[in-house]
Amino acid sequence: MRRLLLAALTCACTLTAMTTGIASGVAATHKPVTITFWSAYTTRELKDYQQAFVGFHKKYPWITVKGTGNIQDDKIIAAINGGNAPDALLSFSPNNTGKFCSSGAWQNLNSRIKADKFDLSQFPQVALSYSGYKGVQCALPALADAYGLYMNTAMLKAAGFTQPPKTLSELMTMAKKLTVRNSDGSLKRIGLNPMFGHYEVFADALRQAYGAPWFDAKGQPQLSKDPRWAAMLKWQKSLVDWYGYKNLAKFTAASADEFGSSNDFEIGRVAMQYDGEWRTAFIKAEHPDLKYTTAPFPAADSQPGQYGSGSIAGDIVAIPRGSKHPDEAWLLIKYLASDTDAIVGLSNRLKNLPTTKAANSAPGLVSDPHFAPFFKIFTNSKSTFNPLTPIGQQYGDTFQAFATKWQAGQVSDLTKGLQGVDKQISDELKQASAGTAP
Amino acid sequence: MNAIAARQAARRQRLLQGIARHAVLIGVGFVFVSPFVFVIFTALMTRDQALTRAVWPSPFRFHNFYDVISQQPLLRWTWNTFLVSFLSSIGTVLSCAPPAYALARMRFRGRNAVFLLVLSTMMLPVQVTIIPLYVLFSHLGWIGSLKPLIVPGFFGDAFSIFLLRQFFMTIPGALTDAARVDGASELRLLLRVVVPLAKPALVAVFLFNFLYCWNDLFAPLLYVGADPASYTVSLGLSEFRSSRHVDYELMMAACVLFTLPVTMLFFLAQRAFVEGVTVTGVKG
Amino acid sequence: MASAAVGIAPAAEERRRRRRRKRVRTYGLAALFLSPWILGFIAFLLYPMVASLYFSFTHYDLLTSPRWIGLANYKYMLRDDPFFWQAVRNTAWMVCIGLPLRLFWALLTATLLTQPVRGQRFYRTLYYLPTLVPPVAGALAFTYLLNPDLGPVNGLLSHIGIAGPLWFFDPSWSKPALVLLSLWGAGDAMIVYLAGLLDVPKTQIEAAKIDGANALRRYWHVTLPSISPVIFFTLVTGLIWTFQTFTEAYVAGNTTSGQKDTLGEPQGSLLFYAVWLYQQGFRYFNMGYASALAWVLFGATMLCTLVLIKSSERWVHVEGNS
Repeated sequence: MRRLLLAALTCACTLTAMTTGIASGVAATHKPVTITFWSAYTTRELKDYQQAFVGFHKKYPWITVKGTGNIQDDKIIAAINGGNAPDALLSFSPNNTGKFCSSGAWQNLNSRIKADKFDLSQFPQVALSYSGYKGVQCALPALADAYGLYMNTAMLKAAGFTQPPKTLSELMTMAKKLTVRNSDGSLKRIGLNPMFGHYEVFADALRQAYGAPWFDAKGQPQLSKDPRWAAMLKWQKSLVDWYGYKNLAKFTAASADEFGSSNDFEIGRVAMQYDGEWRTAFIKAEHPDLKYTTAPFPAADSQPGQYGSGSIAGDIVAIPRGSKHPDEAWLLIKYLASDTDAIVGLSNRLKNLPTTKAANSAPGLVSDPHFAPFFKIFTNSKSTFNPLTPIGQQYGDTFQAFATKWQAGQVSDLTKGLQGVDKQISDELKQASAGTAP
Repeated sequence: MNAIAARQAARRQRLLQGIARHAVLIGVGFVFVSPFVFVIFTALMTRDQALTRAVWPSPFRFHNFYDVISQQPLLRWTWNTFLVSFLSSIGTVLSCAPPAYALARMRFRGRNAVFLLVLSTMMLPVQVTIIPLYVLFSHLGWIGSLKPLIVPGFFGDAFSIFLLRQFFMTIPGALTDAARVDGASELRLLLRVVVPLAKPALVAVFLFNFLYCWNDLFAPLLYVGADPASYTVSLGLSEFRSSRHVDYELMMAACVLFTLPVTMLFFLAQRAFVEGVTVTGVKG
Repeated sequence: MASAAVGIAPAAEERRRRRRRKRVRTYGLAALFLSPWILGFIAFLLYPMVASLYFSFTHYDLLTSPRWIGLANYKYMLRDDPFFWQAVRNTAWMVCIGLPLRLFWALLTATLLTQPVRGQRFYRTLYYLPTLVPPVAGALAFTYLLNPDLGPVNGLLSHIGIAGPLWFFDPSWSKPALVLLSLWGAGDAMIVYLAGLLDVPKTQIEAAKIDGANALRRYWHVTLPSISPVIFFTLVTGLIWTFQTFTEAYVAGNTTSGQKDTLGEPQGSLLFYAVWLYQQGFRYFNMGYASALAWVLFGATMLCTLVLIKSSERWVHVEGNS
């Protein structure tokens, strides 16, 4: 008996010795290192995000992460330019990924992905579309946003609507019915605000509803060539004109700050609103008694297959040029982008969408009936992000400038106007590649 | 009898003229003052009232001032703005007095050419220099810090040099000649004779630069825009629309708080201001 | 006066040497006194000017080194960039309409302040007060004051039966709204004019009175010519400054647009030259193009200033001329 006990004890001792030996051996082969991580998060969100570092440190005990918040893209560019870039970073605006990838400002991760056999298919295609450019994967997706339609349940019920609109014509009918005017003809409450340049980018909603493409396979703008653009602009204008442009402009001018607690939808100035999934967190914090439903933004009548998809935005994590600890940075961004537990925790805390398919269906993911539709929108195969180009989002601004003129009735010939926009965008693209070999 | 009636008529006409003048002055004064009044009233309104057309706040909500300070790092921004304005203005006074003295009291060939060069730099649009300066500062790692706003102040400013030169030129030559005869060096001349006499001008230069830095948006936007902890108040306020939890009553409260310090400074130093302005405007 | 003889008196030689040493010392001292400005001139003016001229012929986005593209930026600017022309039009409007209005108003209020009334100093302070308001605060205040639905200006207008315009939300009214803001803050020019007006030689006024000229003729023939140098000064500085209109347009456009990224709204009516330059350089990071824009701005400013200076010979009255 005693010999057995002794043997067991020795076994246990050797085993522990071996494992601790291995563990400390592993730790011994890695010197403790501190890496810097910059993100654009602030205050509460920064704290919530950086909690993920705890789990990371447990997995890789020799790496400590020092996080800094409040960093916008231009500080990142200045730092890369000045040679004092952080080891890893998170950016809120993947619009510039095209520029950063092609200039090497964010390091090419292809070789690392291959070496680690990192599976990129765990991300939905849309997430990969804004983290890589022309075959170079220079970033990984990290938390995403999806857009849909918010509806005030009580207002819809009072007007006799029980289902969310699935087509744009249904949406227009509902928007008109839900509108209340004052005695002098001005707008008191509107069904939906279709103004370009107000709150979120409504052009994205419509473009997604029609499935209208920005560019063709050769990278040439399609606004005047694909009839869906003209169709969507005409739809928008008909609703604007029904309100009366001046009435609508006046109504919009009196809107409070989008991210304040007097957001139009939250105080009942509009019955329906195009917004991102984070709005649920705002409503919960500021107007918890508001009864509302969420659903995908309707599809164009001619494109029923688009229903269920939505416009997508997201954050990305990357290793900038000049990172002093690129190997450890790679471990960190891999963790932040793909570790299911980490992502589930982040998503629950920040109320953003997890970027891997696995995390989207993980049991620990907190969901409520308001939040649930956004997961589906994000993973819908037709959901898109605006395509990456060497000119970042400049083409979006160019279109927006035209769209605000259009909705005010300042464009007499729509086809010619769209051709002008196409020419402007293609000139911008040409200018960006001036001086390079064709 | 006629003379008395004539004098009465004349007095009446003067009275009417006086009333008319006062009326116009008051009317125009109302135009200048009413924005202040409306802004202050709105700053004291509740959120719901601010979103209506009401002009008179009821109830009065002084708590807005506390709210805007606690929701935005307004105090930190104010400190940044004060630091930049103060240091940069001190630097300007120190770095502009010697060149102004040289251009005003020292005789050397090419003096007029140098002065013209200084003047001509005032015509250069700032846009021409900002991009290479941005690149330079990013190489130095200064982007996001307050250094790009402070350091250039220590290297002269054309307008301040011009102002001081004009003033230095009004100092009687007899004083400096006498001191020169006594064997004083130029430096001692500057420090012991000219500077004490030029105190109002130096104060005016300090105040002008202080006001300019306090109000400036462009330079902070370019060089500091990347780091909200280093914002100046101008920059922070301009971002109001896109930051969270801000609406009109808080925006107006912040504007009031932003304007108050320089208004108080003005009243404390009123004479120096006006003197400084007239020296440049008229004698230029 | 040449001392031709060989063997110049040693005393004269000594004097010449001493004079040379003194000259060197004077130049050296002058250089020393001027050194802060000289250093600043080289580091913060000359070097950036040359560098930005170079950048204007390159494609430079800060992430890679500048890429030479010759005149491509300038060609694009003049041929393919409709926003450039919009910016030029907006800025020209401000220079040709906004600036004269501002100076005229400043002259008007200054003239008002020369009236012999009691409490003149009080009024002067009152009129000057808005100038102390930081431009950002002023622009924000006016976006509220001129808000079509919430602002007191439209409220007042509705009381007298006028439907107020949409001000900053209407492209035809956004620039006039900025002009209102600049009129409110015209105190700096006003004070300068006031000083000039008070300096008008009383003898000339008296002479004109004796000649039978009424107040208006006295103003036109005596006062205005007397302050024409001051007017010229404010015109030149105003011109240079108006070409660079940025802060108020940036804040007003930013605040009224519902989104952060669009500048110059509504419909580009507030897209001034400096705003477009900023957007190109610091939002899109097209640094080469922004440099080209800057040099075109410089050229235009110089041209207009020279034209103004040349014209001044005709209407600026200098002391000593009749």
